[in-house]
Amino acid sequence: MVNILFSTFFIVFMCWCSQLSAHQHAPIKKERNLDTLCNIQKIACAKTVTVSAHPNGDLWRVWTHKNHMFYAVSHNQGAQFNKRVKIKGIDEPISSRGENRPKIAFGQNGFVYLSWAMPKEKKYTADIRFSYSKNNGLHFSKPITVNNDGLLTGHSFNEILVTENNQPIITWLDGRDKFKATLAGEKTNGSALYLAKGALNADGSMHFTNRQLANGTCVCCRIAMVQTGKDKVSIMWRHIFGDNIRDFSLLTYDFKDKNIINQNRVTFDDWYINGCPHQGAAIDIDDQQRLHLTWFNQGQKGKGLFYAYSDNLGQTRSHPVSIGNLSQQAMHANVKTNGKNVNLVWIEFNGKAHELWHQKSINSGASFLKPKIMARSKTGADRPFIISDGLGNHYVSWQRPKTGHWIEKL
Amino acid sequence: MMKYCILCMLFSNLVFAQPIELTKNNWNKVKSSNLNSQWLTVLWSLECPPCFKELSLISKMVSKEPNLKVTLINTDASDDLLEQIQDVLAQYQLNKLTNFYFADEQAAQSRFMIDPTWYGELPRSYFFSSGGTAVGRSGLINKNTLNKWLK
Repeated sequence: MVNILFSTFFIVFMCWCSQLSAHQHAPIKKERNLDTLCNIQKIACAKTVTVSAHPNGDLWRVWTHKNHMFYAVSHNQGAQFNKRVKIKGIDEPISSRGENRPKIAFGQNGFVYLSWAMPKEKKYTADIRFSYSKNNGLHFSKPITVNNDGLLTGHSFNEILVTENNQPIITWLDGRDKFKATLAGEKTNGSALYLAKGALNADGSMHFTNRQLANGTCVCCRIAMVQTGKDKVSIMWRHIFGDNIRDFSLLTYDFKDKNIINQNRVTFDDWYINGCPHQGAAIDIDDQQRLHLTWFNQGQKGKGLFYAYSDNLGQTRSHPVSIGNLSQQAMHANVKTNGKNVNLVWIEFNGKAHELWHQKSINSGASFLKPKIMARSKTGADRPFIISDGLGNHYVSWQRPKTGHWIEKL
Repeated sequence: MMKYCILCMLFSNLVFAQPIELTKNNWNKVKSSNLNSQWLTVLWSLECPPCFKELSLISKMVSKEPNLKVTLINTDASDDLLEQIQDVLAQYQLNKLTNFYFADEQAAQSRFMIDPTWYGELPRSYFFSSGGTAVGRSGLINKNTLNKWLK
């Protein structure tokens, strides 16, 4: 009898416990020194850091903490940065992880332009946001939404550049067409590539036009954009070909005439994946109008990091060359040119530490010198980027979460 | 009384199961405890829309067969996201499976430990045979393949 009573009590108790656990899971609490330190706005705690150069050669770095964006300026080529400044007027969620992070760019007039993705209440929904400063970062304009669809759907992976006429051009991955197709009962795959050009209103505010450039893009890889003419930009993104082959496409868009000049598939590695590679591309153009491309794939025909160039905006391209050690997880490459020099950076992981690698070509990408390790991190590793200040100086920026932001002149 | 204590210990593990930080030690323990059976490990992230389709598939399978041998590993590697991770697991009723998460800023280290030839693309599934060898596949796995492996 005692046994039966005990069993009954036990079963009731266990049922109650499982109900409790299903509805009120206790949050995991962690107490570590580093975590406590990282509850402040230190740059070392940021997951991502974005660097851009002011036309006067100053380097600006931006990062986020909770709902805020911060910047710091270096007047001496990255050797030191001034005290961080919290940007007033931005108080909203900001995507700042992995492929999806805030961007900063400058006009020739010294205007500072910011763009970021603001996640919304529903999973995988966000708006592309924009704010700018006319007085060197002293005040920033009230953030506005760049995408003009007003839909609660995905708008992320923003890139920004500023033309010689100080017009901001923003591109991003947009879910509006998929959203509408789904409502109409149609089955589609992927997002769309959109572009917006900003123009100043009479009252000093900015407005943006929106234009779809491609449909059926991969949904979780960064976009690469570079200006390839007075009124032209070239954009490289991961596209979905047929049944989930995710290779890269490149298009060139004339934003004055508002037409797509050409659009080509530029990688043929045949990566079949119904999923998220989280590996975007990088591009740059040199003064001979040669486009330099670098990308990552895990396809049937090509695995690892690759580099190639194109002399006709992606219509044809050189035979891809393999970059880095695939066995050491070489990934996240970036490229920038400087005359005939082509600089590539990427990261590897040797089993214990992350390594930042650099490889250089001095003949416009025809061949490359031996690669070298530039820096290491035993904690985290963000994607590395090369920044040009337009005055002939190039810098490598590499955020190492929990260790610190690393920046060095090439 | 002894049998109640053992039962109690077993259940207490189950009832209060929370995601655990992945370490070499606990990963090896999971692998050795699953020896002699076919099992599945699925790696997922909050930033991967197709991962949620796979979580949903597994959720439906688990609701029919609660003792399915599936281990889930979240790859976000950010302590800031632990609550969101728990919310997702609760929402899909997957919090009673064995759940791990990558330690803060230890994504590459954790990936390397599981499989140095995997580059972080998601979802990632490992089909472990009863002999302990695993085949990794990237991308969403269809329902039939999952069912077949776990039966």
